[in-house]
Amino acid sequence: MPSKRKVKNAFLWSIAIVYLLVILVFCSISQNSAAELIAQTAANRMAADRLELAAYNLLFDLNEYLHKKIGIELYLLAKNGENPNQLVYELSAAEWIKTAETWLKANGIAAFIVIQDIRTNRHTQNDKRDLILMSTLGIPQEFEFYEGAVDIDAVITTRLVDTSTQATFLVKFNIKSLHPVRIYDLCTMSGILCKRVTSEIRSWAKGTNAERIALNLKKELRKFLVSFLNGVSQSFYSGQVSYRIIVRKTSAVQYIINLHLMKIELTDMSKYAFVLIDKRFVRVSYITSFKISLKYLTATSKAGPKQIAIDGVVSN
Amino acid sequence: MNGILSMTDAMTALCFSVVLILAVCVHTYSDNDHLLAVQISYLQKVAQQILLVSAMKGYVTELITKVELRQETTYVLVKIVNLCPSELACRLYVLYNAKLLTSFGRLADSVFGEAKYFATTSQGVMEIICQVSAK
Repeated sequence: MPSKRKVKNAFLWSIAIVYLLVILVFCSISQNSAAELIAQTAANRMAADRLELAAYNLLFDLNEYLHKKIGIELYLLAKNGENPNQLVYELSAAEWIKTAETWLKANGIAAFIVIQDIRTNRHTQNDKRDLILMSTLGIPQEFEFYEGAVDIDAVITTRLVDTSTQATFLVKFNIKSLHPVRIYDLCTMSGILCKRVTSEIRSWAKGTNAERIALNLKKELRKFLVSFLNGVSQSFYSGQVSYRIIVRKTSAVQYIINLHLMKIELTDMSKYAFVLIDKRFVRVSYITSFKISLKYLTATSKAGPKQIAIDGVVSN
Repeated sequence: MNGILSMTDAMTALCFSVVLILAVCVHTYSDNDHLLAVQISYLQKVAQQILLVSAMKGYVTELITKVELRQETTYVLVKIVNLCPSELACRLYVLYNAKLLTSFGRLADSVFGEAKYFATTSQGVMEIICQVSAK
């Protein structure tokens, strides 16, 4: 009987221990599952944070890329005296998309980037630009001399997938940025200068021989140019105009006046109007030329040279 | 009979102790694991915030310009590292076309969070790596 009881006790205790072990294994498994879940949640959260940073990284870098690219394009347009409205035709972000996607792929993120509606327009004071995007470029949102600068608008849509966790982040950003070089104003001012010369040149032509006519024209032209350039310097523009006046006698009382403004160079000198080209900061100058010819008749003609040419430069 | 019972008691006590110790061990390990994951996640978040804020403040643009003009970058890197909370340590690496250009700051712990930021330049890709650890 004691032996039978011993066996029974041993059996019961064995069952109890096995039962406890089962509970322990079960607890351990659930504990591990919970730990795995926590680790997975943490990994997903970290992946989501990483994707969020990558999305903002794309936004800020595209803004920077467009700013630089537009800077270079408007520098070239201004150098050739072309219309700033052509700017939009020169813009494409395909190269940037390729670079960004390659970098993200190397860092475990599959990226699908679409950029739409890259537009540039003349900036007006009423059109507010994005404070953060302006700040990333190191330029203030509010500044007295942005009128006539270049508004940059674009839309970037990105779908980012973390290749290890398959976490996905889809976002669409509107870019409302600005390039501070006032190329639209430079172009307009250059046009105004030529128009005013055209309208006033007749009143500047006075005299009874070629030399007198040329000297009077030179005097009045210089007076006009000095006044014009002084006026624009109030808005932080500098300018230099080189000219050639040729007066030719064609008959006893008739002269041909040729005025050639060989180089009208207007430069934006405001605080932030720089472009980074070939590892240096440069100012943007709008360079054009202008030619006008007119016939001048005198009532009386005095003796003098048949033709005279005068060259000169005016700057502020 | 009394002898058998006392032996059984001892066996049971031993088993319970083993079970208890194992349970405590498993539980303690999980907590550490969890804490480590949370800590790394937090440090990574801080590193990301440092990079985002420095981009928003224009420091990244300034850094790109300095790198492109081949000027001294330490001043900009100091400004970025200064964004790190005082109770944490921060280290920055700047890579240009996958080559290490410069590094700044130091970590105080082997456990750290890391974030990366890229910037396209006229000459290639610049990468900023920010690592943050506890002090």
